[in-house]
Amino acid sequence: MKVAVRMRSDLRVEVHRFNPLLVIVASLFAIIIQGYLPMWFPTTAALDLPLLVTVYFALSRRSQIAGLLIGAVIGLAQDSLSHGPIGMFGMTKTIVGYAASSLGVRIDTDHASVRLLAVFGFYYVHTGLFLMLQHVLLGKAIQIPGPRSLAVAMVHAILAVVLFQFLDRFRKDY
Amino acid sequence: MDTLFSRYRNAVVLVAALFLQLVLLAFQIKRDKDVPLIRIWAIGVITPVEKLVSGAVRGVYGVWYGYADLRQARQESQGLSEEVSRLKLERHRLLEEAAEARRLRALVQFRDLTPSVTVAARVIGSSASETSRVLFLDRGSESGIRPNMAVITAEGIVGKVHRVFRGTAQVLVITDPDSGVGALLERSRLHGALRGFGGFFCQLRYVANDEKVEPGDQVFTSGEDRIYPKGLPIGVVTSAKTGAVFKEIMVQPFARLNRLEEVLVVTRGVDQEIPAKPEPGPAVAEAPLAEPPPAPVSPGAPASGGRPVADTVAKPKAVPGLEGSRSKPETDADRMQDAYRATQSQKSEAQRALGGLLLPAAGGGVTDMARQPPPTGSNVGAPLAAPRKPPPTSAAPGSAGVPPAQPPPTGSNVGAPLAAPRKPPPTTGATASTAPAVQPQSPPRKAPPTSAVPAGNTGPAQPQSAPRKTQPKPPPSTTGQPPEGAKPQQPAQQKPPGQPPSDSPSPLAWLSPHSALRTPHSALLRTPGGPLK
Repeated sequence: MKVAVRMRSDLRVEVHRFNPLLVIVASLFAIIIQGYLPMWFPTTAALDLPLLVTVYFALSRRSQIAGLLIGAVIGLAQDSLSHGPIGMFGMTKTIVGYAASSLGVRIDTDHASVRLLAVFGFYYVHTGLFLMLQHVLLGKAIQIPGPRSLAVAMVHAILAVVLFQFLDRFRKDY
Repeated sequence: MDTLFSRYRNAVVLVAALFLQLVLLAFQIKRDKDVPLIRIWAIGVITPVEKLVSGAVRGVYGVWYGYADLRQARQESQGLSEEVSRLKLERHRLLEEAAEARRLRALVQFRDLTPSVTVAARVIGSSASETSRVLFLDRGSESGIRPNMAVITAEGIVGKVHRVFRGTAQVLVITDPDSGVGALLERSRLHGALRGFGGFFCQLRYVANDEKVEPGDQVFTSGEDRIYPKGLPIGVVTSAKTGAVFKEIMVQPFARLNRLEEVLVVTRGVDQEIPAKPEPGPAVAEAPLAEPPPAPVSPGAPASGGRPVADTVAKPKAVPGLEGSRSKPETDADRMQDAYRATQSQKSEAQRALGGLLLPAAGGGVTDMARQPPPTGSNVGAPLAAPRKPPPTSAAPGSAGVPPAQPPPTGSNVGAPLAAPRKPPPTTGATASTAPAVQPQSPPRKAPPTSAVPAGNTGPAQPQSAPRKTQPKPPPSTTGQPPEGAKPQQPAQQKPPGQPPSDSPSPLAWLSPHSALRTPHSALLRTPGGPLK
């Protein structure tokens, strides 16, 4: 009987739900930490915690619309706190959220290794999209990421595994 | 259409979201304008949370670092406490060193001023009993210290050397009941014997009840005990009461006997002048205790013996500025001094002219505490103390250049007034009964203004100072013999050194165990060629 329900749930694609307040708090916290942590630890400026939050909620909810909307809101908020034009991070994270939700619909992303590879790939997707939009829309030259970006992507992936394990505590399963 | 939207809803929403953001971005770039509304909303939402988080983080940070600082502060406090303790000890040590330096400087200044030859010593201990007031010095026979040498400080005398060992010496303090000093009251010039009274006081004895002694009178050494050179400050009279026969005069020593650290041992004492004060002058107790003693007017010339130890300092020179401090003679004694000085200068010129045929004198006016006999004949031509050795009374006052008359060699005191009260002719029985009676008060070297003093006088008249009053004879009464024996280093003396005196001891004989070796000052001044040769 339970298997049948789960099957039905799988058919509905959306497996996990979150308290909307948790989404807001987690997003805010990610943005704030992103702006606050480099003040004390300058090397943490390379981290993109809003990206991790976007990917997590997109993967978990497995709703493309919810994923892209979360990505859009978080990206616009991140744009608002930056000195650049609003919309760059918004469009980038909108696409990443949509892609992560699409990935979450197709594969089980609860496993740590999947999350590790997914975040590692989405970091490059996010960086590539951002650089491309900067080049296309703002006319800036594309700076191809060097070997350092590999380490940063790995750090993001490892940090995402830990963060996702923590956020899994607050999700509700159907 | 509805189905198409439903089928491609996600993609449509994505495209719509991207399009909106693209339009927003294009608007900003095209118009070169910002979208303040979005920023305001975003900042309005995020910054309060940021403030909250920042405050919390700062609070945690402050608590953590406060705790860390507290721990660090505790460690620093402990370190600082240790440093403060160390610095306190160092400061105390430096203060002690500074105080010691001040004391030593005062001692050196005093040693430079005093004409006596001294050895500096450090007090290393005291007696183990309350009834015995003795000190131990870190110098002994190796440094030339011998028994019965005076121990002094810049403030005043301390005592005398009682026993001497190889590297240490025992000093009998003047407050010990067994100690005694020949004393002289500065204002009234009264003589007496100072004995220890125990505690921190001494008692001046053998001063008649009818004498005027007031608290505040300063007491100096009289030199009669042959231990302490004349003119050293002893103390100040604190009380003077009428007793059964003699006054009961309490004297507080100038020297701080309970906190002595450095002293001077007089290895060769030279008498000094006692600073005379006018009778109606202010109380002498107002004088500073640490004031250096009166400068020597007649420095001795210790030509013999030499320095006992390396750090002894002979003071054959006079203190500059003190010799000529008196512009013109005021008294007969001053005029006699001037005459004597003129004579001395002429004699010095004559010596130089003769190419040193006249040897300088030695031992004149010097109380040889070391009992070292000087070379024979060294007293000839000694530049002896002018104030202590006035010209013979036969010379007219102020007659400079006139050689003073020589005293008769023996048996007569005419022309030798200083010898009269102390060493009367042994054959004259008349003086035997009268001279000792005035000894305690008779100034030893003050010349009478009269031209001559007959033998057997009742004491030479004092030229300037206190009125002369006969002093009752002290308890150790004598049989009328001279009080002191001959000095051993004076070959011209009639009594050879070491021989017991034929006469009975003086009232001050108990002051020195070597009374037989004591020599009257007049004998010191007497030379084969006369007092001035």
